[in-house]
Amino acid sequence: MSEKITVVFTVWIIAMLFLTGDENLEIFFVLIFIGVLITRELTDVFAPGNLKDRMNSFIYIFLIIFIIIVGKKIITILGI
Amino acid sequence: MLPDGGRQSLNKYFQFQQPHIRAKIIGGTLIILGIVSLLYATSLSIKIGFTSILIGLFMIFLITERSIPKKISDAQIEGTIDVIQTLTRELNLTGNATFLPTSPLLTEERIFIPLNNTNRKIPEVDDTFVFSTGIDGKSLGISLPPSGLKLLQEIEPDADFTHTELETAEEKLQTFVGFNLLKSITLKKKDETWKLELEKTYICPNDTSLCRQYPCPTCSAALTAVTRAAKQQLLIQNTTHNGKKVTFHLKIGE
Repeated sequence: MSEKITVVFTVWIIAMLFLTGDENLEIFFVLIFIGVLITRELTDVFAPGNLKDRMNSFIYIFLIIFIIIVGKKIITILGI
Repeated sequence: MLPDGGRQSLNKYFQFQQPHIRAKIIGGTLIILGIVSLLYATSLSIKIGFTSILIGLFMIFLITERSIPKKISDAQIEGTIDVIQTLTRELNLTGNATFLPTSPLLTEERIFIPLNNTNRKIPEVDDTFVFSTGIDGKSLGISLPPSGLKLLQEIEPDADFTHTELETAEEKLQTFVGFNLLKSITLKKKDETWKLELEKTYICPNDTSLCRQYPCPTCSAALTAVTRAAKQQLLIQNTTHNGKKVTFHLKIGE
């Protein structure tokens, strides 16, 4: 299962790299985050507990990055 | 006998065959390439750098399971199955197996193999009970722990079958797919019988008589899980093989 999930992540990341092209890095990260969340949800029934925990730790890291991105955007919009 | 140097190089060879070791090597290389790519300050190279680092991290932290060749794991199992097969043949036991749930007398599930299918009166089985001699008109037969009991104990932390209803057990059974033990598993009720269909990752080599009496550890673990969820006796009425698919027709309850 872990190999299959890694392959899905790899394909998704490469697809997002091609999709976003020269666009900014923020969109790229957010799209990867969405992919990770979808994969985590879809594999919930099948994935063993320790694999879920490891996927969750990636989600926490991406969540922190996502909060930073949103925070920066808010600051830019508000002009603080 | 191999010299120490030879043994070490052989160990290294086998370690390299492990998927998690290969994943770590490839992942580490990708991270280094990603860091190098980050040094070039163009938008695209930074993105390629991050892509490479992320894939590397996923490979290192997600692929961590050790594995052994299927032939080796099968060989570990076959010995026990052969012993049971010989025992049932020598005792002339032709009846289909009944999985017994836990009870105040029985702390773990058991399989009862009766002499034949005509007299199915199952005796009071406790943890020490093995041979049924047919006293009080009960069926002759043997009671054994299922071959998949230990396997189920390994799976149980990820899927609690004890506190699951039979109707919702199918979802929990998908854990078998998650552990790469099966390709797919379904549990459906048809009229008064239940149909448990298991699709294996390889063509099932076992004969139907063995599956009806003492199924292999994977099938046995799935059947024990169903027994645990049903909290009732589970009788294997019939089995059918179709390539990688094995179907158990079950009667649940007395």
